[in-house]
Amino acid sequence: MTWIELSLKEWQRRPLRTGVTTAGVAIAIAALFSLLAFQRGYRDGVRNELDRLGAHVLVAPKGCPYDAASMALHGASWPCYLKQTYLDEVRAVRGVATAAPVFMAAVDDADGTQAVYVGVETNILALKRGWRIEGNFPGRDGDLLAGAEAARRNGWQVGSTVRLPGLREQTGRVTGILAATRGADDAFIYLRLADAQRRFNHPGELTHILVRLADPNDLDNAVAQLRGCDAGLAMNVVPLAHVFHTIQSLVNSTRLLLGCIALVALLVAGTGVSNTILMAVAERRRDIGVMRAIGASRRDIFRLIWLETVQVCVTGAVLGVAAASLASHAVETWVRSRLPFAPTDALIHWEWWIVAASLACAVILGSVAGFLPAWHAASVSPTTAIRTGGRT
Amino acid sequence: MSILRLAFQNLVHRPLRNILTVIGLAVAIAVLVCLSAFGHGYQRALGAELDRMGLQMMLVPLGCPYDAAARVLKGRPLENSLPESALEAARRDPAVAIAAPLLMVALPRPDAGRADMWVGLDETALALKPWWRVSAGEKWFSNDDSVILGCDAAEIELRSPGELFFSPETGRKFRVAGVLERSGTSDDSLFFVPLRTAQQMFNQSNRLTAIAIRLRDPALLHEASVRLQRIPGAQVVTLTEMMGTFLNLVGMVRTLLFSIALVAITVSVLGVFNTLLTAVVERTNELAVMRAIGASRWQIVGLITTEALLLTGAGGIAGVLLALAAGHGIENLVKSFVPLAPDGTMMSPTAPILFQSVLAGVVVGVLAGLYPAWRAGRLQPAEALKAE
Repeated sequence: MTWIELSLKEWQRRPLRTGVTTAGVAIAIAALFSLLAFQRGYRDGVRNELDRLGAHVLVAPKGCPYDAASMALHGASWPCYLKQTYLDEVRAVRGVATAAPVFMAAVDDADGTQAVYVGVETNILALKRGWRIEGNFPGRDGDLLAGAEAARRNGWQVGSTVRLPGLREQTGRVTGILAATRGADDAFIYLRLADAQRRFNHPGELTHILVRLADPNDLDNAVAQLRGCDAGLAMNVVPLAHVFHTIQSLVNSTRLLLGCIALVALLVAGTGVSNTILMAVAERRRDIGVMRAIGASRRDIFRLIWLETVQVCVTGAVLGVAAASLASHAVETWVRSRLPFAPTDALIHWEWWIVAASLACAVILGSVAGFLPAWHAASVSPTTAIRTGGRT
Repeated sequence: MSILRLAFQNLVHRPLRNILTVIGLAVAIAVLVCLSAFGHGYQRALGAELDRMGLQMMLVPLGCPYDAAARVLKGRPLENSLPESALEAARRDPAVAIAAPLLMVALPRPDAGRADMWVGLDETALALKPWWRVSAGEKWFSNDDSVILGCDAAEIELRSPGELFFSPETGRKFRVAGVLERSGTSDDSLFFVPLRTAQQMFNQSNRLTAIAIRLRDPALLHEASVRLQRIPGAQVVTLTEMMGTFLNLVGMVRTLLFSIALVAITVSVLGVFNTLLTAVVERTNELAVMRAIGASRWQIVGLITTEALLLTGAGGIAGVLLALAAGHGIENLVKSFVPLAPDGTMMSPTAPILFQSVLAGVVVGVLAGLYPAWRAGRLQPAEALKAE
């Protein structure tokens, strides 16, 4: 019988108690794993989303730039507007390769779903290089380009004339359908800029301008020029790289706080494990005494109990990681409903190193927690233990 | 011998095991207490601080308005600035009672290893800061070259009113007009000078960091903010909006923290369950004898439940004590993360919070004790004694 097999015996002797202890470790490790995976997923999600926007700078009306970035990414009705005349000034700035004007509005359809209309000009295609369009880009007023998801939900085909959701009595002709981008673009309905302004009664107004620079390394200079132009006092120039850094640093700063509390959960799980093994040692004093009497050294006993602890923790960790990956969908939905700036990508994004880190945590936890009971067991004196029948 | 005493002795009989269980529970409860107390205290302290300022809105430069307002309130420098024309425009607005300009600049002092915050004010600031108390000297600047020091600033510079004060970085000489009383706010570490002086010192002529605004009537808030929003180069933040945004952000972090605290409590309850179960299994013989000499099932169930109560009650009380002892350290840790940390204490462990936390511990503990107690009550005395 090997040491490992011997350490697994406890499962047979006290299945309920060992099971409960393992469950405790599993819960703590599952929390740790979800946290790590979430940190990772959130950062990647935000970055992908900003990349998909295709712009380096967002020009938005006055107000919180993070709100503006979030609205531009996810689609919403904007509280304030920019004058279309600012567009010429933006285009005049040196270093600006493309300045794409956008008018965005969100309306609720009769069945409660939200339809997001986006008015754009053809130069948006210079930003959205990943777009694959079946059919044509809208060429005339009344034409529309539907995102993959929007087309699927409404059952639209290229060439059909359709009723526009959320806009009473208005129709349009679908000239193109966008291949799935896996971003928010999929749910948008693109119109010609002037057409969108007319339908929503905001002629000559924009919600934001997406700016792509000729050289992304020239960002600071271009931003300074944009802020300095005449219209610069009436609009907010938001470099998207800064938005990413701010969000990332916010997430990073909560990391330590969350880490501390995850540590508390692990600490509590550790005392639980320590305690259970201690009880097991107390119950098995006589066995341990006999083992010592027939030749096991103190080291052997220490190693046996220590292995038992690590084994409980590792089993718990494996279960915890498995449970966390199974429950990741539910956790994601719950977290998403509480986050102010949630990207559309998967938030819980695990990688092998996270699994490895969780398991390593469990091994460390088991090693530390196992120390006290193992030391206790190793100091059992064989003669007393056998004489008293294991009672203390 | 009463049941209570018996239960107590049973716990004392296994000190190490029960102490470990209590520690686990106490740590979890302490986290719960800290989180509840923190959320409550933050909201109250933030509300009190904004009320005390007596302003309804601020004009800040373009950029994130919440970030800008939070920086101004906490005495940290801003990257952008406002043109002074915004001040005249704001003063012309009929709903504005007081518009107080403010220029805030950080002066790095590499040799001293810190940055001093200099604030330029004009006379309107006095109306907005009625609680300003000078501990020595004058309450206002006597001329362009006078400075009023916050009490920490005065201590660091070792200056008292009337003395000369030289700022080597800007090459200007000042006479200290007054030193402020300690207020526990960010004012304590600031250097106040007249607005014009500050603009000259830092080459920021006609620039402002922010304009604090008090309205004639708070009910005019909405229409005034719409009008002021049109001022070029400036945007409006109303303090109620701002407080809402921060409470949202803090609320989100708190939900995350609470869910993890819940994990800790669940894990500690599993520990209580294990401890009690082992206690029952170990004492099969003893419990059987008690049954044989006349104890009823319910008395046995009561005994184990009492043990559970004592154990979790001890855990709860230890947790509260731990939270009270460690609260200050935790508060400092948390303060560095929240965007607009109010001065003064944010941890306010009120009696209901403490009571609820102990109660929560005891309730879950009793739930954890149900199965062991049921198992103890089910014991057949004859069989148990025979097996032994």
